Amino acid sequence: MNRRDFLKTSLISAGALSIAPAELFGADIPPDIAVINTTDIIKGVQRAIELIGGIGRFVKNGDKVVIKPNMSFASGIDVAANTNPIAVAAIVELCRDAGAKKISVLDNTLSNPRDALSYSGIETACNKIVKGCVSAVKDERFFSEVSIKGGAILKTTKIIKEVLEADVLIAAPKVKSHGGAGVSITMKGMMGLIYSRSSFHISGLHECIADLYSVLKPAFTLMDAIKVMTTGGPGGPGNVKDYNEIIAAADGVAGDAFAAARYEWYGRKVTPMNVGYLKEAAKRSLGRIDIENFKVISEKL
Amino acid sequence: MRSYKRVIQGISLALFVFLIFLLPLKIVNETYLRLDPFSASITALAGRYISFEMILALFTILATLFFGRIFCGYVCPLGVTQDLIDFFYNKRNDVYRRFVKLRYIFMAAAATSAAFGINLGFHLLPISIATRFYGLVVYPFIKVPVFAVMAFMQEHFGWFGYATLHIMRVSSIFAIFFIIAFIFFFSRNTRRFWCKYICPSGAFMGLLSLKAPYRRRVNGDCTDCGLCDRRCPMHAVKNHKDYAVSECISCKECVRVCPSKAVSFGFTANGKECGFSYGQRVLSGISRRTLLSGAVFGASAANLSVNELASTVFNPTERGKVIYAGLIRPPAALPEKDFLARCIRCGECVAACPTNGLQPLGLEAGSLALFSPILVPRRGNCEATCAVCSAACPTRAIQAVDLPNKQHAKIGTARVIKERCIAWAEDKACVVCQEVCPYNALKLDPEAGYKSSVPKVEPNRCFGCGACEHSCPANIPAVIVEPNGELRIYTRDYITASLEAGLDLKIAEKAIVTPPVESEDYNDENSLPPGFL
Repeated sequence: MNRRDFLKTSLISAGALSIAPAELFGADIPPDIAVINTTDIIKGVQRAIELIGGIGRFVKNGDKVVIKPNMSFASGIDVAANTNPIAVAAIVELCRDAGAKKISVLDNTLSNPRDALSYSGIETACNKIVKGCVSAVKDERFFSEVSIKGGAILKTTKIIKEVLEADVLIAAPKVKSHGGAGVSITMKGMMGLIYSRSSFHISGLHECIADLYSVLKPAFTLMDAIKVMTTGGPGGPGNVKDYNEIIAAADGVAGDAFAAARYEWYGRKVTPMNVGYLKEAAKRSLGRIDIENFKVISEKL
Repeated sequence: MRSYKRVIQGISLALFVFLIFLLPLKIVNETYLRLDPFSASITALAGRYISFEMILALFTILATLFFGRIFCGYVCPLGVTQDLIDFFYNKRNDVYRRFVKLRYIFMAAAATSAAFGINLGFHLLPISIATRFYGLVVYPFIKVPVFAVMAFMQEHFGWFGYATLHIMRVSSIFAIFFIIAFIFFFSRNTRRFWCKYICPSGAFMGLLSLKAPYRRRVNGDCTDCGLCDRRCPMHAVKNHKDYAVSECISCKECVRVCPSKAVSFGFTANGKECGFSYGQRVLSGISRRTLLSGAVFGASAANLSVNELASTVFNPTERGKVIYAGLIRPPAALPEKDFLARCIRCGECVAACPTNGLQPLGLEAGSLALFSPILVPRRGNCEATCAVCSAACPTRAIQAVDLPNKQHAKIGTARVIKERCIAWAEDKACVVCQEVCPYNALKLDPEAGYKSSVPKVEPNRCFGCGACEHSCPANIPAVIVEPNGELRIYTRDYITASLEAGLDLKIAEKAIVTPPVESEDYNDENSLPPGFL
């Protein structure tokens, strides 16, 4: 438990330290949200991360990095249930160039791992950058029990050991609709790093997502809104709209709030207050959902 | 000499086991299962079919006609297993000699029941028993220590990354093991117990071998010591020179033990050869009475088995069928009567199923369905991208279909049990069944009086794959697959058949193609889309 606590604390303080200088001294404070509209996905990813402070703000030389995309489904890019593979590969490349010692792209897939990894295209794309970095993690022995202090419902959960030991966690979610949670983006995506998510549905999905996020906070999130599944999520098929947008945010809650309000779900606009877990996150100060006060930079490449 | 027999046997068993272990990699080779002429014959008889694939059995028949029972002596995996078992025992006091007629009775019984269209031979087909044993007992067994070693390496050395091994669970695994335990137990008193007293395939090949020109011969050096009589594992040698051709498996133990090197095997030249004596051909155990009693036994057993409550065969009337609720057959399984007639219970499909969802049935659906495959979705769903069971079936009880046709071979229909479903009963936000459904057959719809949307099954879109049942977060699944609406046909064109049945099974659309049409039906200002509060 000591080592785990140590690692957790160091992970959080590393995150805090990396944010602090910019907040305190930065004449040019990075925006809360960077939105890039482009068809060149690699450039879009690079620019979005550059705008929120550059990869160097989050990944230091020698860091162990875990990237969490959506690659749960045995479906291709057009269904828009998984993160765009080129976007994930672009993040892997940035981390590699920033000097990361180890980069792993992990998800506890819903479909069988072989099909999920191959249909999503993420394995093929990332293998070109760092060979063998993509894994589906399903066996209980790769997870380790973590207690959640202040969890409303979720008191303990099992998280992938490698994630607990990593220096940096990066979220690379797909922006999509979700029949149970409203939208599935960064916060909901963290459920892919734990062993048993079934209990969430039984005990209260929104509270559990917020509980989990309090121990699994990514350093930043890079959201894939290139194709957005606006209905029928999370697995689809649903209506898929081409927005060609890549959104980056250091605060995952803020990112989710922004993306939830930016797109139409089932043809309707919603506010962050319509999303149960975002409301919960704001209540517990896990992040901001006051989208009207966000500093947003939009660019078109 | 002994070594070359052992080498051939070793290679045969190794190849057999190797092919079984390759099944989960979707590399299928059921050659061994097709080699046994008796299984092929009774399956053809019971299932009333003939197929080109049976030509492999013809090879064995030809070999037996010329060389005698070399299949038993050198190839049969259960024979090799029996030799391995005999290695553990040293007893030579055979107390079972009076049962020498038994295998002819079993043979006649299997053939007679098959003639009535009921395949009971699977209980005693050596090739089925061997495949079942190695595929469903040995294979799962050795996976456990392999997994343990791998997990140890991953934990302490960081090898193998996140690689994993699916631990196999097999229902009735002890019942499957029982027959091997039975052989093991009786082998303490004699060698080749199974082959001598039980094996109906051996009996059949014994009959085929009666006129084989390849024979045992003894020359004038014989000192009448009688060692060959005593050491013959098949009790085939009588009075040194005479031997029962139908018993001899050409193992050549008599050649090896003969102190004066008087025994050899060879082809007869015009029935005589200078300096050799062929002795008398002896018939052992077989008689008209034996075969007749076997036939009566087989017919009665067939008769009795259709008297069972859950028997699905021989239903003159439509009403009154008691169908076991879990009777979900693999996709593309023939209509039940023919499926049971053809299925030899080898368990290849079960061993091959990558999700471990296919399981050998116990006695739930009657003894006639014993060890036949069913899908247990809670254990593993039927993967939409897999058709390995259909490729694995040696008798085509599961028809050979390509992936598009397999994806239309509906095996059942899912049903939501509202009282157990946390969305229906407790108004909780749960989407798991909809999320995992590869056929888009589960819809999450808003329901009056519910905050969360609730799952509903569209039966004509449901394949019955059981992904929903497999993943349902409730301990006792709230969505279950039942054998309703299954597509059991004789042609292999399941696509047409499913359209004719009014089904709308679409897997490919979800997997790779862009989903169609705009349908924004949430224009009601007072309600929010699913999941929002």
